[in-house]
Amino acid sequence: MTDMRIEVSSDLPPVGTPPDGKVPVWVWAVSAAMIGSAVAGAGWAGVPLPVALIAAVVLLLVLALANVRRFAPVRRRPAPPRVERRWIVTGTGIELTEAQAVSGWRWPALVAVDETPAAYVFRQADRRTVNLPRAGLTEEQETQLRTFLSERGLLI
Amino acid sequence: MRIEFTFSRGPDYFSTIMVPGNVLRTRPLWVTGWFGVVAGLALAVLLGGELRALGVGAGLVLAGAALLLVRTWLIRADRVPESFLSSRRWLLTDEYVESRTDLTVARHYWAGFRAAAILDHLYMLFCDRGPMLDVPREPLTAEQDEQFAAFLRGRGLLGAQR
Repeated sequence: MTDMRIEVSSDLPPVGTPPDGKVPVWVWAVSAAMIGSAVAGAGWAGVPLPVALIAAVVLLLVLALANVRRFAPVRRRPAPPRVERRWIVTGTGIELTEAQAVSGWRWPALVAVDETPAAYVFRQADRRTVNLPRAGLTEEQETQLRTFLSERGLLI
Repeated sequence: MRIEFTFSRGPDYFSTIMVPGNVLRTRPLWVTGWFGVVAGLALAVLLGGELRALGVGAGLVLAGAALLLVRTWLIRADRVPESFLSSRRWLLTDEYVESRTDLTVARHYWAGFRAAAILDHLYMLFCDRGPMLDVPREPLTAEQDEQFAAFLRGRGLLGAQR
């Protein structure tokens, strides 16, 4: 399979990059438990429930606003520009050519592949990703690529 | 210009340019941790005569402090990925900057950069709405360092709007 050579061009923006700042479920659960415990505890200590609830909401708002700068990095970034990119997939690895940059990854650098409707998303060990859009692939190329990826144990 | 060197960046190298992912992933713990501390203190102070209020207040302060400590620990435990620390070869020429390892290569032509900044231990190069690139200064000789800074200045990248 080392003679594989697949060339794809696309101006679609990359997809499938996992949001690095996504809050895990357990963090939300612990946070909710903390707030619930505070309101219930205040009620048990004699504070009227409506007062405890309003005080909790006000305090949370104040703290969230005080922390708004910390939230800033996760604000939605502007959509990346649509620029023509060209991928060459061979038995050695993947080469990506953009207007002002060329990047390359040998296969051992890529540890897994996620299939999305729009692209094959290759994952590196450090969680960064490389997107290969499916739109430009012929049926034959896609079959060839899938066979290659399966043989390498990359398709999950 | 042709400057070529190999260098391994340590964890400290990234401390000023990377925010650990856990800072963002655990941000609700900051809010609810302080919520527990402030609410607990308020209960203890406002209803200080009540044994129940004192107990609940102390419990909330402790729970809130625990959340803040857990968050601090998680952020400190969030290490730089191993691949960032591996030995890497940089090549700086008049046409491009290239950074490569045994398994990866990234070559960026200068026309794709919009700005650059000099930090104590590295040059930070900002691509046009794309990724940032760093060039360590430690392996550069004083002459190379000056040559590269002059090159960036000559291209109008130093001090340009990011």
